[in-house]
Amino acid sequence: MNKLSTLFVGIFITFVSAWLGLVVIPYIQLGGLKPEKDEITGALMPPALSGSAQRGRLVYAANGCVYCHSQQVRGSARRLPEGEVPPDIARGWGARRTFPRDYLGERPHFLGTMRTGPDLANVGLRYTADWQHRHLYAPAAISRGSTMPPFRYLYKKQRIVGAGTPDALDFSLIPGVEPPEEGYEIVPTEQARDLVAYLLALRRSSYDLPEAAE
Amino acid sequence: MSPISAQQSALNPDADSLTPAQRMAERAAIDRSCRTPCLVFFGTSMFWLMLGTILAIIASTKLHTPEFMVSLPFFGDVGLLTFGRIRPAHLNTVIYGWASTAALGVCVWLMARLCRVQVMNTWILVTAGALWNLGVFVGMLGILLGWSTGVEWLEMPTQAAFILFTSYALMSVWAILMFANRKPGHIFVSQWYIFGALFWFPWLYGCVQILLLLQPVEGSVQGIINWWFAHNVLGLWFTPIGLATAYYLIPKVTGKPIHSYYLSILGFWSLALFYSWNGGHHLVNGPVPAWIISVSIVASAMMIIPVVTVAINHHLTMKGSFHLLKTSPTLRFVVFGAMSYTLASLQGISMAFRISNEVTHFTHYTIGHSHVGMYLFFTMMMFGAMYYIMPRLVGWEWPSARLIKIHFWCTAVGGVVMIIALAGGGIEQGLKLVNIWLKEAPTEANPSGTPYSFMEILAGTLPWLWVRTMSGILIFIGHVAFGINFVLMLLRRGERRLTPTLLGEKSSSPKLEAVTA
Amino acid sequence: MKLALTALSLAYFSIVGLCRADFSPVEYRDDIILTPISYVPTMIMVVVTLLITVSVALALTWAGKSGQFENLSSSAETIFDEGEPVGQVTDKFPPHKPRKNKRRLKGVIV
Ligand code: HEC
Repeated sequence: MNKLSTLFVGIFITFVSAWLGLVVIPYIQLGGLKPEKDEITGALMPPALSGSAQRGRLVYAANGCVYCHSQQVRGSARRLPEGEVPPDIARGWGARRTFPRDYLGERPHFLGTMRTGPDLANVGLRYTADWQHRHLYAPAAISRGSTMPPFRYLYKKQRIVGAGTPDALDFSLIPGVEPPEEGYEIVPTEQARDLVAYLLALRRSSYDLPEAAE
Repeated sequence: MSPISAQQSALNPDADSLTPAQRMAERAAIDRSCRTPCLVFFGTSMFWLMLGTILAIIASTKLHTPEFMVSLPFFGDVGLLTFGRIRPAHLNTVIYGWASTAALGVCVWLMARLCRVQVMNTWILVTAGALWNLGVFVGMLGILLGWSTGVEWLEMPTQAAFILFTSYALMSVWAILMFANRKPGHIFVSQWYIFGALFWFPWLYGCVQILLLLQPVEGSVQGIINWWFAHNVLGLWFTPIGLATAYYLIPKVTGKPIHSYYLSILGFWSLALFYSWNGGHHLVNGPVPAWIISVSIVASAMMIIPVVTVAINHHLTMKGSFHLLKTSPTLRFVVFGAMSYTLASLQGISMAFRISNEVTHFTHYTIGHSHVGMYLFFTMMMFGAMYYIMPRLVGWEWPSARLIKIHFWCTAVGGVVMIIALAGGGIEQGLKLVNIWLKEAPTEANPSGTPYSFMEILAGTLPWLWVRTMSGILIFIGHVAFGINFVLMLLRRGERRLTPTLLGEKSSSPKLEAVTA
Repeated sequence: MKLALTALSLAYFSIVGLCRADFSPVEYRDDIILTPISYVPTMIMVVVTLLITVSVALALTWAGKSGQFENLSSSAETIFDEGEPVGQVTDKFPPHKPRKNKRRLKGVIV
């Protein structure tokens, strides 16, 4: 093994094989996937994200939600007893497992590798926008014992004008957190609104895919 | 040695033509020629190591005490320090800042020694080193300021990636020039690994930059390519360089040739063939075609071949020399690293199967596994290499044996405790998450039992995470000891090295002899 | 002999591996995602595996014939020379310093 050229050819070929197998072929197989069209309503499945939700994706990326939250409902490799569903579904994280088609258009992907917090593949089906804002502002006050970091920097304090901002935080629902002084309110920044729009759009169980029928 | 005599010996590869003294002088000259570039790489990597460790402790603390460092005095609440930015900043600092920079430094030295030529074109290396550090700095700042790309292991904004890639291209050009000028003779196994790593990494990095960030593909394919990359950074960049170091230093320090060169060949090619296929096992049960996962699981299982061959080979080389662990700092770190490599790989194989992966995936166990690989294996290997290389670069002895011992014991104990904490916590978390470990066992009335709620599972991980933070502090103490020793050495404290090779040689140094006697 | 064994074991592992891909109960299979075209890559993978096995066998045969495996032990010895011959240990903890030195260093850290 003393010729550099031999060495190089070997190094090249071994790597090319994996590159073809794990990059090129999956791309060929899945790259052409299209959203499914609902036969009755004509709606796209998965639906396209709104502009605000699209921007919310970037907020999600920039603040590293992906390091604690996955977005995939898995099947189970175990032989489950009759009538039992895979644990992800049993936990209420989705009505069915997720498929490649569920992730169309996602750049970057947020499949995730860690579940310090619950799976978010269908979190839009579980909470309202107001709850999300309160939770992002003070997670530990909303879910006792939560270790999710507070995202207070996505909210700002401002003087109340007129009847106040509709989506200002309602401190009577955030136990144990000091409200701002009289005449002020805490409102979400644009970033927080986008982020919550994105979270509310995460509803992968709300439509059916043909591959889910199998 | 003068350039002329270097040329002469290049023309005359006959091994017997040089006297021992000439040999030693030749080697010393080669070592000295690495001095500037290696010091650039090692010095800056030390800085990133410290910073990375601090970021690690902050991130780790935030996981059990979420209000820790959320607000800054005067600034109030800032995004800069949120967990979701500190964690990727830590990862990128230690991967690109510490480990890669140290690896490049070790590569330079190994290449010079194994090609048996003095380092030429030092300016290329220094430029590459400066650019590399600039890239890491820009990238880290970008992550902290919220410009992360959001793709794990590739969070650095594209601008930083571009700088890093340029720097890497310069390194490759230099490496090719070195290879072209090497002295005729065998290509030693370490060189294959380095050659492979220097070729594989830019391809990987360039490929994912294009496919994930510049012309991004969508959804699941992103996931596949993402993990193909992230796993291969370990497998085809850090592992080869770590093994190259072990294959050179273990024989060199013990003074015994590798036990079986045949095994080393088998190990190299099976690693090249199988490791590159492993990435898909990060998506077991996920939304990707099942064949990708199956192929990756097979490849992961096949990793048993390179791992066992390397382990056997190193063990048999070490056999009969284990007493040297007491006296040689390099060997301590390198052997510790080599043993961790076996552990990390066997653990990795065991985690790849669908059944085990269902439990360990999405838990702290995986984080623990990557620390076995990156810390207990690779980082310890780099420490060992630096203990060997530095005195030869600067012609100066390490100032304090005690600091070396503190460094070893703090990092070894800290590392092992961290792994145990993460593995234990991860298994508990995993078993509870998939409802195998139930709160109440199944009964007649309640046939599937009562699973733990998510918040209960979360609470269960907290004690483990506390232990992990403590171990991080211990590791930090070890790193500080190393840093002090490093700086003192550069400040020329401690013993001067009196002969060009040496350390523990029954050499011509009367002073050393008197001291050791 | 060694060569033949290596090639055989590689081939064996690849084939067994591919057949039993996940070492898990077959029942699991109804969970696998089968998009309509997913058999194509599977077939490609089978072919690729065979190709790899064959080329590994060929490469090893070639390597054996052309003498790549000869003189292996001498390769292992290329990192030693007269200056640092086989048998010489080349690393050791720095010596403890004589008294005089120690005092000078005390201010810093020893
Ligand atoms: C340190 C890890 C961590 C990070 C980072 C993190 N979270 Fe969480 N998250 C948690 C934990 C733990 C919980 C469960 C306890 C709770 O409800 O607060 C949770 C719960 C949630 C929930 C409620 C889910 C449910 O089903 O009850 C949402 C929504 C959420 N997080 C969104 C986010 C978003 C958006 C981000 C990024 C801006 C984020 N999280 C970042 C740890 C984290």
